[in-house]
Amino acid sequence: MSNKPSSSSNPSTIKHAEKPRNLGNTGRRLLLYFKQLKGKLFFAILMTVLSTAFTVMAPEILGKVTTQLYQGVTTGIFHWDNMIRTLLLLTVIYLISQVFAFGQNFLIAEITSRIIYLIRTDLTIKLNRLPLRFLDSKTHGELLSRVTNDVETVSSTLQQSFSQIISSLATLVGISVMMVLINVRISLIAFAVIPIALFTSSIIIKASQKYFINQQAFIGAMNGHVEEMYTGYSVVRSFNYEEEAKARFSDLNKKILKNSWRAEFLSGILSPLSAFLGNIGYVSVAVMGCFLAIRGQIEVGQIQAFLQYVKQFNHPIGIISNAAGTLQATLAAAERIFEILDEAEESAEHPHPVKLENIQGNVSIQHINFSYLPDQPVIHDFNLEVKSGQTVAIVGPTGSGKTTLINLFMRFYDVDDGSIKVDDIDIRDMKRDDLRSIFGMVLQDTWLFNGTIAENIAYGRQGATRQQVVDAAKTAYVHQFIRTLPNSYDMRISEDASNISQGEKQLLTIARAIIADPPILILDEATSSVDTRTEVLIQNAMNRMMQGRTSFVIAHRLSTIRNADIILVLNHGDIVEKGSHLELMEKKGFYHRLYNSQFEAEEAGSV
Amino acid sequence: MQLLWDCLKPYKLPVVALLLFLIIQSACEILLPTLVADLINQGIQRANTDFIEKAGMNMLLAAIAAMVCSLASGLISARISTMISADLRQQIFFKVQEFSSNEMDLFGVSSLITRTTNDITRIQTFLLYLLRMGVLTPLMMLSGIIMAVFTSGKLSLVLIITLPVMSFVIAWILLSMMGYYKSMQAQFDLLNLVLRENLTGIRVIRAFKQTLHEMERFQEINYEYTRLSIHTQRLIGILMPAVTILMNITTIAVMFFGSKLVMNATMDVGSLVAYVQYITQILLSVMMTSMLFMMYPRLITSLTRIVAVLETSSSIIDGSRPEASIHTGIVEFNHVSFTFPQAEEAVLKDVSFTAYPNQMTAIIGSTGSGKSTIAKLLLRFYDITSGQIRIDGVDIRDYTLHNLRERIGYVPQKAVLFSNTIAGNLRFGKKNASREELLKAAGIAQATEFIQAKEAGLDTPIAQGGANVSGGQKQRLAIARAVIKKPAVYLLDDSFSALDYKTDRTLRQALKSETKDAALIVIAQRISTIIHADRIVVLNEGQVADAGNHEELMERCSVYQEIVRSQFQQEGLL
Repeated sequence: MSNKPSSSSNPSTIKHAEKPRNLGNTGRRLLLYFKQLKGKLFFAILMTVLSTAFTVMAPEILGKVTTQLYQGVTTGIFHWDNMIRTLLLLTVIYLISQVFAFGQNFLIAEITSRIIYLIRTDLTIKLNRLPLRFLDSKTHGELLSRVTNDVETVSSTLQQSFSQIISSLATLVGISVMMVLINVRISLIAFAVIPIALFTSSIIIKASQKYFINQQAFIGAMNGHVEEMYTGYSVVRSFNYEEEAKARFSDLNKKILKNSWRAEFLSGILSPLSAFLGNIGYVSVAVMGCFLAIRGQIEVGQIQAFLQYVKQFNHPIGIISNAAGTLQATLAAAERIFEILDEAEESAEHPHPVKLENIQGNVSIQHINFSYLPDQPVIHDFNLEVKSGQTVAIVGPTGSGKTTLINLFMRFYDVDDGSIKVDDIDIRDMKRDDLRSIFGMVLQDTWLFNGTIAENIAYGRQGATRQQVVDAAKTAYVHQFIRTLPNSYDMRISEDASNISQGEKQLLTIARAIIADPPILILDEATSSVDTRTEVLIQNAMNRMMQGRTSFVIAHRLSTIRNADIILVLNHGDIVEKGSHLELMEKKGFYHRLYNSQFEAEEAGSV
Repeated sequence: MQLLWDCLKPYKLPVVALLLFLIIQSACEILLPTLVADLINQGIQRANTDFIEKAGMNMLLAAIAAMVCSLASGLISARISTMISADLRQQIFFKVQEFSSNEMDLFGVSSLITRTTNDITRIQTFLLYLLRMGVLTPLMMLSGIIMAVFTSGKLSLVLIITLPVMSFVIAWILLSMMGYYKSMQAQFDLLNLVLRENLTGIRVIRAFKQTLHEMERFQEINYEYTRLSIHTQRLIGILMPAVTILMNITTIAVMFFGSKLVMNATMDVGSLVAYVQYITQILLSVMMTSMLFMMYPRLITSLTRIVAVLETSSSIIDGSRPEASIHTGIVEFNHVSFTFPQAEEAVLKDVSFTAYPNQMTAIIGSTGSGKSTIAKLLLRFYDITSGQIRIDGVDIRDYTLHNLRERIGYVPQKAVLFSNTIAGNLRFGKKNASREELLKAAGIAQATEFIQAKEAGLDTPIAQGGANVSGGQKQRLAIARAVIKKPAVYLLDDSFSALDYKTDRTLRQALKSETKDAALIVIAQRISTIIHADRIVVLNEGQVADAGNHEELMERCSVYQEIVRSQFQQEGLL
C-alpha cells in the first residue's frame, strides 16, 4: 500500500496537483456512468435532435416571409395570403420544437440527478471498503471535501452544462445542414470560422487548466487549515496562536487568489473570442450576401435567415467553449473522485471463508510482526496463547503499542507476518464480518451516531428488540440514567453527542457491546473525563460483561490487572514480560517497577 | 446584499471602467443589425457595392471594438470577484480568530467551516456572473429597446405586452423553485452529516458490521436528495421552452404587424429584418437576467450566513491595560459565580480560593462539579457572571487577552495537536524555541523516549488531530507545549488521564521541580494524581466543599473521603 500515514502532514492534495493529469481518461470514466441510463439517454437525445431540427427550420421559413415582403416592395404586389400561411406554419414549427425541448429537459433532469446519485453511491461503498491505513492517513476535511464539494461541482456542471452541450451540438449540425442547403458559398465562409474557434479555445483551456487544478489543491489545503484552527480553537487562543493562524491563512488565501483569478479570466476569455469570431462570420455573411443579392443569386429573406443562423451558430460555439471552462473544473473534481474510487481496497476476503460455529474463544498469536510505516516496526515476533474465558490484561507505558493489538484483532490492519488464530482458525480465513462478530469492542473513543439512544445501543445487533436494548442497558448500568432523559430511550443524540456526558457515552458503548454478545471482548479501560461514581458503574459493567468471555483489557486499574489470568507487559511494541501478577512480581522486572510506582501512591492514600 | 455593495466599494474605479467597457460592447453589438438594415436598404436595393464595402468595414470595426471591450471587462470582473471573495474569506477567518467559546458554541464549528469555505465560493461564482453577464445583459436589453423604439415606435407596442408576460412567467417559475431549493439544502446538510459520521466512526461501524446499515442510511438520504433534485431540475426545464415560445410568438407578431407597415410603406424591409434581431436580443437578455435571479436565493442564504459571522463580536472584551503583565502568578478566585448563557442554573457558585507560586493547587470533584469551567474562566474563554478573578492582584479582565494567556500554560482536557511536526506543535508555546529548549520540555513531559524512537525525532509529522500518536503521547506533547512557554501559571485540566500510573508519577515529579516559580493548578479526576498537592480544593455541585491538603481533607471533608474511598475500593486496597 502506498499511502503512508505521514503523508498527511503535507496536505496530499498539493502532491496530487503535481502529478501528471489525465483529463481525457477522467472524462471517459465519467461518461461510463451514462451507460447505465442508456434508454433514457437515447430518448433524451432523440428529443434534442427533433427539437433542434424544428428550431433550425424556423429562420429559413421566416426568411421566406421577408423575401415575399421584399418582392412585394420591389414589384408592388403583396401576396398577403401566402404570407399569413407561412407565418402560421412558422407558429406550428415553433410550438413543436419547444414541446420536444421540454421533453428533453424533463429527461435530462432525471439522467443527471441519477448519475450523481450513482457517483455518491459508489463513493460511499468505496469509503466503506477502504482500508483504515488509507483513511487514517487523510484528514476528515480532505475526504469530506471530495465526497461533498467535488461531487457538487460535478453535479452542477452536469445539470447546467450537459443538456446545453447536447443541444448545442445538435444545433451546430442542424444549422450547417440548413446553410449548405440555402447557399453553399456563403456557408463555406461561415464554416471557416469553426476551426479557428476550436483551435483558440483548446489553447485557452490548456492554459487555464493548470490554474484550476492549483486552485482546487490550495482550497483543499485551506479547508484543512480552517478545520484545524476552528476545532482546536481553545488551544489556538490560549497559546496566542491567532496571528500565526492568520498568517498561514493569508498565505494560502493569496495562493488561491493568484490561481483563481487567472483561471477565471482565462476561461472567461473564451466567450468574447468566440463572440468575435461569430461576429466576423456575421459581417462576412452580410457583405457577401449583399453582393450575391445584387446579382440575384440569393434572396433577401435568405440573407436574413443566414444572419440568424450565424448568430445561432455563434451561440452554441460560445456555450461549448464556456462549458469547456466549467468542464475543466469539473474534470479536475471528477479526477479527485476517481482517485478515491481507485484506491486499493481492503485485501480481498478469503475465497472460501471458514464457517464459524460455536466459537470457544481460544486465541493464539504466533510470531506476528507489524508496522504502520515501513521500516518502523511496532510489533515484532509477538506470541501469545489465550484459553477460552481467560482475561488478558495489557499494560505498559503509553505508546507501547497497546491499541495496535485492537487494530490487528479486528483486521483494521493486517499483520505483516505471522498469524492470529481464533479456535485454531486464522482470522484471515474468516469473513471480516464473521470475525468482527466474534470480537466485542469498547473503545476510549466513544463514537455514537446522530440517532436515538435505543438505535445507538441496537447498533450492536441488527434487529434487536426494544426488550433486548433495555436488558443490555440494564446490564450496562445505564438504564436508570436513560430513564431520567427527556424521551428516555428515544432521545436523539445530537451531532457531536454533546448532550450526554463522556461517562454516560462510555456506558452506552458498553451496552452496545453487550447486546452484540460476542465470545471475545476487547476493552479499553478508559479513565479520562469520567467522574468517580460513573467510573464505578463502568467498572462494574465491564466486569459483568467479562464473565465467561475471553477478554483483552487495556488496563489501567490494578484490580483488573491483578485479577487477570495473563498480564502482558508491553514496551516499545514488544512483550517484555508475560505471566500472572504473582509471577511477575517475583521476577522483580519491568512490571514490578511499574506496579510499585503506582502502589506507592495507593499506600499514601490508604493511610 | 448590503455586504456585497460594501465589498464593491473599494473597486469603484474598476467597476466604472467595467461599466464603460460593457456599454461600448453592447453598443457595438447592436450596431451590427442596424448596419445590416442599411446594407439591405441602400446596398442591395440600390446595388451600391461601394456602400456595401464601407458598411462591411464599419461592421468589422464594431466587432473588433466589442471584442476588446469584452476582454477588458472579463479581466476586470475576474479580478474583482476573486479579490472580493478572498477578502471576505479572510475577514471571516480573522473574525473567528477573535471569537471566544460563547460564539464558537453559538455557530458550531462545522457551520463556521462551511461559512468560511463553501459559502464564499458561492459568492464568488455569483459575483463573477453578476459582473460579467449581470451587467451586460441589461445593457444589451436597454440598447435593444432603444434601437427598437428608434426604428419603429408603433411596432414596439408589441413589447409592452410581451415583456410583462415574460417577466411574469419567469418570476412564477423561479418562485416555485425556491421552496424546492430550501428542502434540497436541508437534505444536503443531512447528507454531509451522515458522511462525517461515517468517517469519524469508521472503526465502530466496521467492528459492529454496520457498514451495510450505514450505506442504507446514506442511500435513503441520497435517494431523497436525488428526488428533490430531479423535481427542481424539471422545473428549470420548463423555463427555457416557455420563454422561447413567448419569444417566437413575439417574432411572428412583429413580422405580421411589420409586414403591414411595409405594405403601407411606413417601414422598409431592411429595418424590419433589423427589428426582428433587436427583439430577439431584448428577450434573450431578459432570460439571461433571470438566470441571475435564479442564483439569488442561494446567494442570499450564503450572504446572511456570512454577515451573521461578521456582525458577531466577541463577548469577551479585551483588557484595557496593555502595560499590565503577569509576573508572580498569584491566582485568586474571589466569590466567583458563573452561569452559562441561556442556562438556568449556575455552574459555579461563590467559588473562592487562591493558588500560590511554587505550590500545587489541585481541584477535584465529580463530573458536572464545574472543574473544567474554572480553567475556561481563568483563560477568559468565558467571563464570570459575578465576583472577581485576580492574578497578581489585577483583575484578569484588565490584562489584555494576549498578556493574560501568554503567562498561562494551559493543557486542555482533550489534547489537541495540529498537523505540523512535533517541533512545530511544541513551538506553539514559544515561537522561536531552540531545539535544546524543545528537547528539555519534552524531557519534563516524559516525551523524549517516544519522540526519539521515531526516525525523524522532533521533525516527525503529526497528522490532523494527532491521529498518528496515541492518547497518552498526545497528552505528553500537550504538556511539553505548555512547559516550553515557561508560564507563571500552569493550568492542567485532567491532563494525565490517558497516562499510565508510572508515567503519570514521573511526569508529576519532573513537572514539580520545573515549575518552582510558577503556580501549578491541576484539575484532576484521579486522587493519586493530586495526593501530594499543597492544597486541594474540593468542588461539589459548583461550590467549594472544602480545601486543604490530603490529610486534612481525609479528616474532615466527607465529599473528599467518598471520592477517595470509591477510587481505592476499586483498586482493592481498602
